[in-house]
Amino acid sequence: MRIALVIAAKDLRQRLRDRSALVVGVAAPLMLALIISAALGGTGFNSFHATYALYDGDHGPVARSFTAIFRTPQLRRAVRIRTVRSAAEAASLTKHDLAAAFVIPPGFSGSVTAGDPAAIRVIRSRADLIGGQVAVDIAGAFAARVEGSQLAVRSALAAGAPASHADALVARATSAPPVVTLADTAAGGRQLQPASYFGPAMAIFFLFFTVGLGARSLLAERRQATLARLQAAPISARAVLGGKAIASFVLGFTSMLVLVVVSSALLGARWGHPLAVLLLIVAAVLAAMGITTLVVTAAKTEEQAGGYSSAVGVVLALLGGNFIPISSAPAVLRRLTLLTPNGWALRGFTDLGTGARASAIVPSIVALAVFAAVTGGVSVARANRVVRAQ
Amino acid sequence: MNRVLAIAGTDLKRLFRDRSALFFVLVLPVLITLIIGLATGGLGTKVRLGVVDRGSGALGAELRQTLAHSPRMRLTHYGSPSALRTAVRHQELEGGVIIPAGYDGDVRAGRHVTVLFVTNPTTTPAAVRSAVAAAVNRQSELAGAAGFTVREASVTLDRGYVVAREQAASGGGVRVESRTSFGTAPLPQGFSYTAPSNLILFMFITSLAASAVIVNNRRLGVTRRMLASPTSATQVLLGQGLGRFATALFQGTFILLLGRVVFGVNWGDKLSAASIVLVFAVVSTGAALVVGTLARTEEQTSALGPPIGIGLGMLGGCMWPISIVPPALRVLGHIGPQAWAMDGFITIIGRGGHVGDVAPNLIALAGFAVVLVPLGAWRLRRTY
Repeated sequence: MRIALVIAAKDLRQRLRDRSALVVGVAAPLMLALIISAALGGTGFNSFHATYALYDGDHGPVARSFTAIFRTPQLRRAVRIRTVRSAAEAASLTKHDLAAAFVIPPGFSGSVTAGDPAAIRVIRSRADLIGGQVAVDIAGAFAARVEGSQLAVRSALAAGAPASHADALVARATSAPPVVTLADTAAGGRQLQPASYFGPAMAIFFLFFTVGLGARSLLAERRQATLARLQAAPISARAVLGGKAIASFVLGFTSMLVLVVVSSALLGARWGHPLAVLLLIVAAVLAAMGITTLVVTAAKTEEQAGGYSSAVGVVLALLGGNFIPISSAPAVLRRLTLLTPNGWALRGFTDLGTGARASAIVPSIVALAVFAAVTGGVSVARANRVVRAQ
Repeated sequence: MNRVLAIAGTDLKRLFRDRSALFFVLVLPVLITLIIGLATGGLGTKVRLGVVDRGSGALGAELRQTLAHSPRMRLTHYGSPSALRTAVRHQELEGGVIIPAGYDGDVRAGRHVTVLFVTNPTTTPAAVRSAVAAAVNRQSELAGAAGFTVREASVTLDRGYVVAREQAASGGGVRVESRTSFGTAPLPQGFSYTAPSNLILFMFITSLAASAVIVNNRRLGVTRRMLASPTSATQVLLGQGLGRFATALFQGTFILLLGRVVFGVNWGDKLSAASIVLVFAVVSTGAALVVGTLARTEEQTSALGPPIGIGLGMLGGCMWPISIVPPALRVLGHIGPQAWAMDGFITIIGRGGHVGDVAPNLIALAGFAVVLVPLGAWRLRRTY
């Protein structure tokens, strides 16, 4: 055991001196998680600002009620309106600096009150997808409200309400509140922040590279003939492999732990129940170790090992949803996700991140343990052969 | 010149003898284009929506029907709200709808009812919510109109509903017509987006990864032995640069052709597409030379390459459209060559642009090349 620890300490010293472990284990995942949160995290309505062009070719009462919604308190803070004099001007502005333009065609109010089909036009810029989507949503909400009152007035008149009081009828229909509304609710106990998804996702992706460094050092030692020298000394193969495994585990575990701490502090990522997070990290590190060791022992040279393990790491990350969520992928692809340790680990972390109970991660832990046991068992046997062959 | 070609040839031979290099150059980009293309609806797959409906009555059933008949959605029933939430969280569904118990009675009585939409902000597309909101609005309008008719025309509720349905089916309505300032879609869709973004992403990452050969040459003393032969330093330099450039160009051309033939991507103006790939290959070569001279060991090149490539790719719009990020980050993204190249591809693929339209992008990319290539060459020269 003491010999294994000495070997582990030596390996760790070597990894840290090379600084690649620091880059792969901490700096890189942190940087990428930071970019992802900055890119996708700030799309909430609180930080949203857009300027829209508005052309009112109608000047009727319904068009005026549309322009009035931009004076309501919640929209006034986020949206600026630039009134323009023609539809063409509105459209050309979206080619350059505005997120979208609203065009209310002539006769809009007339069509609405006559019960004819009417339409608001929204021209979105290609450069600002979010601003364009918000513009469409604003117009859609308004259209739904107008359509509702239009239908109410038409139905009342068709059922025999006196047509002489049509104006009063319209006023009453417009002021009626909607009967059914749609309210958003988060899938977990709380909203999953992009940082809480991509923080773990990047950590898991780079974990394969971090623990891979340990397995590859076995091949490096074989090339440098230090492995042969170790074999000449009264040191068992088990101690050598144990030392390497301890070093890999410490490296992987520490880098994950640093990421958890730093991403909660800097990015506001929420990881959930601490003990459950620790258990999940241990299971994920062991599974990653098993797989990378299996891959590395299949290679003949270090270059090959590096190539193979990057390839396996990237493919597993891709299938496991570490780069992009796979919910809109075909069913086959989503089933493949659960054939990867990445998919299971990420599922556990998102469960915890959204405030699920700690017990929700049991399936993930079991799946990761199976990965670790199967690949670890095979790779210990193969690594043993690498050492003994010296 | 023969010597330059020989050096480049040797580098390439050494690179491709390693089968994992072939995997990175040829297989991985295809695999990733395929998976991401499929995951972002490259085949026009249906959106999966879950629904919980416990005793919501006739109107609840009608709401479900409306959702089920939507051509882009597939509905799955769940027994409880918590099962539905878990499925959304695990990305088995893109969104969920919870229709409350007693829905039918409350709506008919004109009492305000809330339908819950279960979302996962990182995975639920905005279009899903719009489709659900449209279905809910339709019911709300009918209920509102029926109730209004009862009050204004003194008829029974059932009669009110009959009239409201008749009126809803017989015209009227307010629509929103939405289009973009160029064409109909805001961005190239499916494979037409993932193919160019992975082309850019992988040309760069592969070049950085291949810079390990430069470190390896130095470490094994290959460069020193070449210099000992009657070969000038410039020839060695050109040879090593040419090797990197040929790899990048080969990979770029391969993805261009594959995108056309297998994924059916219409690259638009061929001359513009070829120019972008060509100039970007020069930029990647420069970056490879710089990283190859900065790194001391091969380990370091493989530690630095992927994160730098992925990071700049994210900033440059290779992972998601740069037009969805905050403006400041959009500006920041253009510190890397990826953003300029992606903008160029979007211009030619999405907007039918020509060489004149992508000229600014090509000039910016040439600017990166003008800085990176001499910098890398100068540093490499110093290591001789």
